[in-house]
Amino acid sequence: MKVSRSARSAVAGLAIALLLGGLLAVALGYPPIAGLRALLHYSLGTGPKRALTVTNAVPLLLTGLSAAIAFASGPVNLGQPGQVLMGALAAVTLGLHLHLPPAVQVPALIAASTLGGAAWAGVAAMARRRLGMDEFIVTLMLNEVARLFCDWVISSPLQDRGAGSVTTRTIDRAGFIPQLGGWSASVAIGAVAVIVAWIVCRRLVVGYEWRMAGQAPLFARLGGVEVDRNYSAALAFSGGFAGLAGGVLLLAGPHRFVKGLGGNYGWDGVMIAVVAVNALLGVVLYGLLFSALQTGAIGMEILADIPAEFIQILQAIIVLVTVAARGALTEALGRRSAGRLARRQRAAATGADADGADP
Amino acid sequence: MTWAVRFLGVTKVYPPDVVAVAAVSADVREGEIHAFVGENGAGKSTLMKVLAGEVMPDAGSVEVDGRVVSYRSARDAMADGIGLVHQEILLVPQLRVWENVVLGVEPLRTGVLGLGRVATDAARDAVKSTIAASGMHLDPDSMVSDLSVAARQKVEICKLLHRDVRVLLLDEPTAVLTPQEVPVLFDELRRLRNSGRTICLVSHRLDEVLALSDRVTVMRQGRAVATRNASASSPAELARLMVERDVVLRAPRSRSSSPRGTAVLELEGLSVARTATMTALGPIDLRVHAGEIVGVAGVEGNGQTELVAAVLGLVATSDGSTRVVGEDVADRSTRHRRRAIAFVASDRRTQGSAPLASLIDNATMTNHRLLRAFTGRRGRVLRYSYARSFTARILSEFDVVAHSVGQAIGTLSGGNQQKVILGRELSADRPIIVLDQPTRGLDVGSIEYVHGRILALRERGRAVLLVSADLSELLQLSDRILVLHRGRITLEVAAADATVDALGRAMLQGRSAEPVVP
Repeated sequence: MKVSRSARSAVAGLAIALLLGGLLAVALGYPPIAGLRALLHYSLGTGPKRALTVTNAVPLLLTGLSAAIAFASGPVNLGQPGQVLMGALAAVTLGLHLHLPPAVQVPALIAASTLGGAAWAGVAAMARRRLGMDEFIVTLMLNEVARLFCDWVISSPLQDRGAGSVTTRTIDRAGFIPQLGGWSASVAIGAVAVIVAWIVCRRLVVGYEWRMAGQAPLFARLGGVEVDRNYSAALAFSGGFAGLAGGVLLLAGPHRFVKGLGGNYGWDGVMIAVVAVNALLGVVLYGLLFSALQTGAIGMEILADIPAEFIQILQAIIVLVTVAARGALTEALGRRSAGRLARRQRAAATGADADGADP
Repeated sequence: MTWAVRFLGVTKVYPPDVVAVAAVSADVREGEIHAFVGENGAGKSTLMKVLAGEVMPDAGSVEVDGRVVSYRSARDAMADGIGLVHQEILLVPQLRVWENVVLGVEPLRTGVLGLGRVATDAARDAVKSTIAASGMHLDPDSMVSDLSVAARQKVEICKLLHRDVRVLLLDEPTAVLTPQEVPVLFDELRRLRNSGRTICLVSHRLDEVLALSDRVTVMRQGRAVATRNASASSPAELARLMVERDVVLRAPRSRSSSPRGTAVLELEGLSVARTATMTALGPIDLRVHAGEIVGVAGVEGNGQTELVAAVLGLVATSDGSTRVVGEDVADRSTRHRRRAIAFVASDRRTQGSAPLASLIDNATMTNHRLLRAFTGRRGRVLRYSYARSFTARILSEFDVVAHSVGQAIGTLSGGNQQKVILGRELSADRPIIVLDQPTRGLDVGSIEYVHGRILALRERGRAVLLVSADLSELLQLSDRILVLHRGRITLEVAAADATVDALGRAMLQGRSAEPVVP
């Protein structure tokens, strides 16, 4: 019942958001129906396009998992953009210097990117435990540090002097994530990551303790949960997923660290976690949805002459409407039951009138 | 008779179903000091917030000077001459006293483009005359950051006077003061009353309330149960009205049917610091033996919270030792201590449960580390199938009314929540059980049930530490009763020799009768 209610509010929110987006398109002089059709055609219209949508969803749902795992366990990890970059940096550094058969090379680079993201989140965890610094601020600021550090690395020690732009050399081919029958193997990596997240969060003792500490820290602490230690572990674990997103972006895409790698995937992940209320299944579904929007955006531009950037506005509308609808629904339900109870209490008191205080 | 304020059936429910104030009717006379007393959660503060326009009532109405009013904000109430001083003081420390007082109602000088500039001198003079008229000792030019808490409270009061407030509401005004500052505040409040203002204050310190106020309204579980003239009442009477339940069911008990065993919980010279110089608890010595229920009485806020937190390892102790089944647990974590200590918390919503989590998740806590069946061989994997059947067993054994083990515990009634919590805590057999206000907010049937479980623990030879604000509960269940007052044990008495009056005296005045050491 709970699931169906949240599903209903999500579907309603999505419908309202599309409607608002359509109105906005009309107001801006764009054709809304043709735009939507073009969007759907370019994201889901044909087999290869569907494969592309699913492939593009992988980094989104990885950063989404990163944010969702952190938020549900307590830590406010807003460092996905930085962790994505550090994950990619770890992968490219190892990929340039390691030369092994693909069956070993790819897993090694994937592991390196995960560790890179986890270590970067670990810096924030350490700052919190040792120095009492709020991870909310530290993870945010480390995004800038990571960006500047990566810019320096790719424009100085690892720069490909022969290239015309700021980039590293291409990694050993053995590290490329392979294409299998039109599908990128990164989809399998994404699926494995979702399963790992599910097992850790929903099947292991640590996941249970993280969840309880996130929901009711004092209750968890009194129940014997080592809240501080869990906080650091959950933060690092969450960072690992963002790092993996960076690795996948690099190893499936340009195969080298180009300036601007990582794009907006970090923040999109935070957005996905927020609309999915940190639920794993929700993250997967919204990840696919956002990927479909982003993948179809180019179609909208080509076929309907609507700028691809319009999709970012639509995404923002979806987030705002979904979150607002959820809040309004809960609020309305709570108010209604509170009002009923208050009237009952009042009626009972006036009926009996035994409680009237006498001066 | 003129009523300054009348509450007519005021009811406030915090969504979804927390009844904070239930059909309260009470009258406040013009020019009196009227105190509202009651335990935490009795609804006193909420009632004041309704009057001050900070909380909208869900039913009932408020009359001020004979008019029905419904304030939508604190600003509305202020415009009508009603203002509330919160327990926490909300001033801008970087500003001077007079600047804080005029903040929000600055007299403006018309400037360019209609943008006002604060008429500094006029404002400062106005504040000065407000202070002079009230007779308070306060320098309008001091920095608030340099002031003591008591002086800051005066600034808060001055803020209201500066806005011509006729009805002054104070929420626990003495909670933040040292004993020496209290009489000074009281003198000032009496002076304000004598100048024609009406004062309502919220407190649970009964001796102070009786010394200051003209009339007292006692609240219990959201209801106003009685109003008394202060001069004709006594702390004992108010305490009775505050803590007494509507019905007290006396469970049959056989005192000393089983012999007392060895001491399993031993506190020696235990102290907990509140600040560097103030102690919240102790030093106290306390022993609980196997097969014994030791009751801890006291007006709330006299060290009970710290006692429980210290036993569980939640706060650092500043001195003394804690031994659990013979082991010194000074450096041991809460997790380690919980292997030997079952614990039922006073606040079900933040300590006793995770309200939004399922019954399964709530019943699993701690047991997943105590009972091997919960985890795989290496203790890493949580067996949800076992947790599910474990929870179902608790529901049936403890007569919990619930429709599924997957529902959130917060959707159950208080009594059913407490049964789930008891079931969780009693599933793993542990030698020590700490119960903090185990029956607070429960209905009579649930109370009886919980009492039965507590007595059964004693029969099975467990050591029970029972903290309660309900004296009849303590008298009924305990073998020994200790009274805490300002963090110290002021009375220790065998329950058979204890009376409500003697306990009440020790609770309120801290006057130590002859200590009885068993």
